[in-house]
Amino acid sequence: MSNPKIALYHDDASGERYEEKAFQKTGVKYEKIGPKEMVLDILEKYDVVFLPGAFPLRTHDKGGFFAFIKFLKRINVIYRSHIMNYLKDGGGVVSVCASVASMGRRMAIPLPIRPLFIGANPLGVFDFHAKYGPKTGVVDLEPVQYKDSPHARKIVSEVLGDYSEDQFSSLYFRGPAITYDAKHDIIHPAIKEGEDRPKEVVVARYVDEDPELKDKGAIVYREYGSGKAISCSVHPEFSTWDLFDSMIDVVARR
Amino acid sequence: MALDMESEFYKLAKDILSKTQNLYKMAAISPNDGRLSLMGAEGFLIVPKRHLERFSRGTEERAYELGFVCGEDTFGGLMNEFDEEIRELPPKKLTELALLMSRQIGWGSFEVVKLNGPSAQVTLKGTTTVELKHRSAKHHSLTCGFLAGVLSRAFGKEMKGTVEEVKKDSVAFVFSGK
Repeated sequence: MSNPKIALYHDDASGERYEEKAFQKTGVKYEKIGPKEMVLDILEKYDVVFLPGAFPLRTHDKGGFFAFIKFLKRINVIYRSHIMNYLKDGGGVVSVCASVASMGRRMAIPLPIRPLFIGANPLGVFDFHAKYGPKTGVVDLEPVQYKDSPHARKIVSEVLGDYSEDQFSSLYFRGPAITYDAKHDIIHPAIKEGEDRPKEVVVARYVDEDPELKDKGAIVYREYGSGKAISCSVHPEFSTWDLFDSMIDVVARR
Repeated sequence: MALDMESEFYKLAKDILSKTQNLYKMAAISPNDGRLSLMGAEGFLIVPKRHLERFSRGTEERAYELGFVCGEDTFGGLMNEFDEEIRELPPKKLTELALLMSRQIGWGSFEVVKLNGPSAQVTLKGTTTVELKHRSAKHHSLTCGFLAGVLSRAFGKEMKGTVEEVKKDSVAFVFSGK
């Protein structure tokens, strides 16, 4: 297959510069697309769409409280049908850090800004619940072991690539911790029920000691319609940037 | 969930640079040139201590110049990688990060004795530096140059360093901006 065509979303709150740095290191070619290009006709031109993180407080010319809210609401409301139809038609989406919460079924919104999110439910591409994390720093992750599901094991191996055998570390900027229920389970219910080809698989979990992160999901894979999506709540761009390579390989439209 | 990228980055960088274990978790081999990358900044090499000791025995001007370029490039690499996040950090905070980095990559432990941001005057005390066994001030030129290089990036202007005092277990450096 020739190199997949990659789109990197940006707006006035997005942190796409980190993805750009990673792509520059690995030589990945990409095109930046803005809010006006987030429509199905344009998305269909790309094999993978990257949704980066965002800055909740303004720094220099980027981010800020309202820009951050707008970033999430744009994904949840304005781009909603375009992203979902793009995925259904076989597209690939990789969401990173802040945008991960928009991809799940439920996002825990801090109380003071909750009213601003009325009518802006997350997309529900994934089944997970996402809660923004507590700290900034280096976190340790490990591949999730699936003894009874060969398909889930294969997904873990494909998504994590060289990092599927052992613990690894990543930079972390308060990305969402991922679970499926109040017991903070990270094994998708379909896998528990013994489904042969589960559509959603948590591939990496936090082994960080912080109780808000420990054993919660960090990187999740999902098949949606004919497409595939990966949600990555950490920032691999600073030491494990080649993780993006395996993610691109997995989700790129065939 | 307030997230101010400048102070968040400062906190993050301190967390990484103050713990050797964390710094090396952020190390990777660059796919472009096979050289080491630290926190995404590329182009680092591991140089044996004996190599550095040899540099320090050159003429003092030559040793200072080699150290200066090394300091400028090493801290400059990190500053370039995180340009937007650190653009507004004051020299005092950048100096703190630079000295943590210097320690973690083996240049020695450094303590700020005096720092005046507006007048760009800094006095540092170094321990476990590579030339510590030498009692002559000129033999400390390599580390002096290295520190002048990192401080030049931290202050955004060329800093000139001199060795003020050499003791058995420490050495004092004075730097001032041009």
